[in-house]
Amino acid sequence: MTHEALDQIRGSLPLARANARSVAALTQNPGCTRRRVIDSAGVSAHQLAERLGHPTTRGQSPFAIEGGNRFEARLKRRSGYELLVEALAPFVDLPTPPALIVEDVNRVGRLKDAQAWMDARVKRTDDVLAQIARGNAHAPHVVDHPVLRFDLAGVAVNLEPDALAFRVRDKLELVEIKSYPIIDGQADPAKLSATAGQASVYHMALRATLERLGFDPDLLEWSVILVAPRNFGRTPVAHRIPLKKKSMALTRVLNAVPRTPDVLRELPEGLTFDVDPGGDLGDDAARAVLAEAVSAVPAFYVPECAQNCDMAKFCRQEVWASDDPARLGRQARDNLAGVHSLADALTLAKSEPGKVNDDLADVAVALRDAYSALERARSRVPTARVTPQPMSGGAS
Amino acid sequence: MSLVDLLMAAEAAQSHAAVRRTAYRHQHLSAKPLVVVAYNLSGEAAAPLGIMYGTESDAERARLVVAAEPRNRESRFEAINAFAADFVEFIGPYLQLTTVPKKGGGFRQVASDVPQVVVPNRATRSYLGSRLGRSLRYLGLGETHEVPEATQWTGAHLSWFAEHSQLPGQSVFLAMTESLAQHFATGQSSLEDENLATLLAWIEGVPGGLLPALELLEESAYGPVPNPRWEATLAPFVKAYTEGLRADDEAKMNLAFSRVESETRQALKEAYEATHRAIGILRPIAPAAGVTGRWQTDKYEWSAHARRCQRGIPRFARRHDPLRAARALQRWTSAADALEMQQAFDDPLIMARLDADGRCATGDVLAIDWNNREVKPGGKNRTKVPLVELALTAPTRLLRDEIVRWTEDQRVKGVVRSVDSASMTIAVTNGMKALVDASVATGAEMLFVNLNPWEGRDPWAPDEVPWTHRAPTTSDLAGESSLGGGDDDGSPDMTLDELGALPIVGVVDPDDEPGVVL
Repeated sequence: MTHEALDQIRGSLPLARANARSVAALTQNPGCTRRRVIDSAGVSAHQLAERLGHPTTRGQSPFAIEGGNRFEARLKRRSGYELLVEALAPFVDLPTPPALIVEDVNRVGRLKDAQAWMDARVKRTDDVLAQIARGNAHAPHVVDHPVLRFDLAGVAVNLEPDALAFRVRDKLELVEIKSYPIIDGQADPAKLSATAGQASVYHMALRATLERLGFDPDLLEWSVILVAPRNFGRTPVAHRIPLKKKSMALTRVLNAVPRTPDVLRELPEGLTFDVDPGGDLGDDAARAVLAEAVSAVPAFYVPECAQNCDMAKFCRQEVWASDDPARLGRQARDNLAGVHSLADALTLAKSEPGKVNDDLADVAVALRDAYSALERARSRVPTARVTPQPMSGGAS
Repeated sequence: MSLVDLLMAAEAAQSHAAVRRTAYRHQHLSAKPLVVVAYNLSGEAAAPLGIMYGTESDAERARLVVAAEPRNRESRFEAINAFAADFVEFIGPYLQLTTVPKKGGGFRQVASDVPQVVVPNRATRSYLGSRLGRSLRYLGLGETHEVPEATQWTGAHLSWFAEHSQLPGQSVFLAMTESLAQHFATGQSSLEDENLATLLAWIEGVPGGLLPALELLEESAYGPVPNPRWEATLAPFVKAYTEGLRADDEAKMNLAFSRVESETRQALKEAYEATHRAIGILRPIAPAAGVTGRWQTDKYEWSAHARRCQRGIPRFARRHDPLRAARALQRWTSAADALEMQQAFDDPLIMARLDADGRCATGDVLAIDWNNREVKPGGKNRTKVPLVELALTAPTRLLRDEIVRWTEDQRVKGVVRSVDSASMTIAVTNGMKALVDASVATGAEMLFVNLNPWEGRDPWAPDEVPWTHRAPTTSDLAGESSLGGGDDDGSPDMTLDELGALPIVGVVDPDDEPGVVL
């Protein structure tokens, strides 16, 4: 039943697989039903947003992609994994290349069918993990390009961490290679936090895989080893980033979100995002019908969505149209609990005491106090209401 | 977000126009600040593609330096050195010291004025300071490449700017998104306010619908990260430049360079003009009373840097050692407290946030009993303690025995003696003379707030490492570590052959990311 409903939502639209961005979008805002339905149904959020007339114009710089790939290739292929082993040395005691056994899961043979290739890689990763977990002497030390299949809040995803390193003392380490620099021991906090978020999903998936194979998930260290360029050069440096808190918090949150079948039951009968399979409707008409269908699935918009989710511009436009306090951020939404729009907040602030219904009485008192304080202050400085006439910037 | 801020944002959202958050300007603006906007090549730590800078709002008169292949050392440093030469020239006059008498006797050397650098957003500030400045400051030391002295000086100055920009209330190194958001409330989130283009649209207004205009404006990249699709169109010219360089084909090189230059000029011009416009918006706002004092602090700090510069290029540690870190933290914390307090007393609109929380008492003076005498705590004799009786005109949550200050003159300090729903009596314990001089008439409005700023010396200036900072810090971080290995030699360099072998990636699929999930 679940599958049917999801298939129906997607209709004849091309199947989209989860990717790093969609996983980030899902885990950053697990309370968003809309995002979960889109991902579960395998609809491309990017294309959906485009059809809705609110395309995301984000993208990666070609220079950044090229630089990132170059750094990773240097660590792995071009140095025969020697550089990687060197960088990991403070944390993982691995033999140097001739003795180092590397399993590149990518090399399971290029099958023509992408799905079959992915399945083969998942299978191969499982086998290798089992070998390592059993303490097989010939088990690989480094597993490159592993693929983990994982059910993320009802969305089936294939995750591809950069590498797994097998420490001799039978501990598994998760390794993530990034091309942003670590300058004097410090990385850009935003990027580091994104990496930790991404790695904690890998971590969850890896623990789940170990459990599924019948091994102790504690075999895996509660951390990720980040390998990135040191300062401004190209020498790699490794840092251990603890993941326990983040990973456990994420697990808790994802366990708490309603199951996908329950979510689907709440949605209107016959819901589909494939509103115009035959192409009979005009652009505007199709857009309107699609917007209606998408709006039937509740979203949980916050401004931070723009960083991860392709649907953000559509959801923002919706929130602006309804004047939802969420347009200002999570805090505004929380502070104004029960007040559905900013205009309502202003009305409450200007309302007469005793004329507001009881549920909002407390909010109304606070808003009224704030508004009268603001107006008193404004009356003290008459210019405070005026937007100044700009002067030429250079003039004194 | 306080409720007052929330209401201001609601007003802005309703009227589709920004609303003033403050009554006064809380930052100093110099007559001719240096505006700097920059693009960094994506994927590199500090490899400027272009830097545009100048003191004139007319972009035609701004200087632009461009590196057509920032991953190549010669190309990159040609641009950086040119910028550095101009930057040092800009800073030069501010390093002049004059001798002035000290308060307690003796003399002190101070700088006559402080340079001011203004950038479009916080990201550019941190890029110029902690990235570009950091990448230049160890050059010429150890096994690094030789660079002109001006470039080393620029590394030192930018490092000082980066450090000083952490001081709350400073006006030396301003990011316009931060300054504008401090003075104006918009109907969008603070995250979206980090985009100078949309922030300006809220303040200046746009023809037509605001939201569609904002969606378009969000495309503009004011640096340091260029628009990825713009970079994709630039890639072939960068490649052509390298090819010209490898083949010694000067014509090809020049052609490619001029294309990169004109593209970069066009893109950066917008950011440059917007930054000047932002300054133009702030300038006519009357400065708050505390601005002069904070600018004096900036001058004091700058003078210390200028004095260090007398003895050659100042050197900076990679990281603060624990004692310096503890001291800096303490200084920044007390500066942040002082700033908050000062701004509240300076600006009724900021005070309104405290008022909304019930921390103020507003009322009309019913009577002042000038003859009341009391024995103050710790005192022996009865001294004058005037009693101010107020008829409250606004709600307050102040309780008996709370210490309050008069918002008009913070020297006037008192204690709430009694309070009921309609009236309040305040016993003025300090600042008697200031109150007399103000000659408050009966019926006048007075506003008291329960802020109690610290007036003595800083109680805690650590002279040994406090336990909070006894982390395992290695000498490697404290500054004397070995240099070399290319790590401190600017951004990674690529040989011409390596550059020649680079593919043109073209426009990247939106879901492409290194470390992909399929």
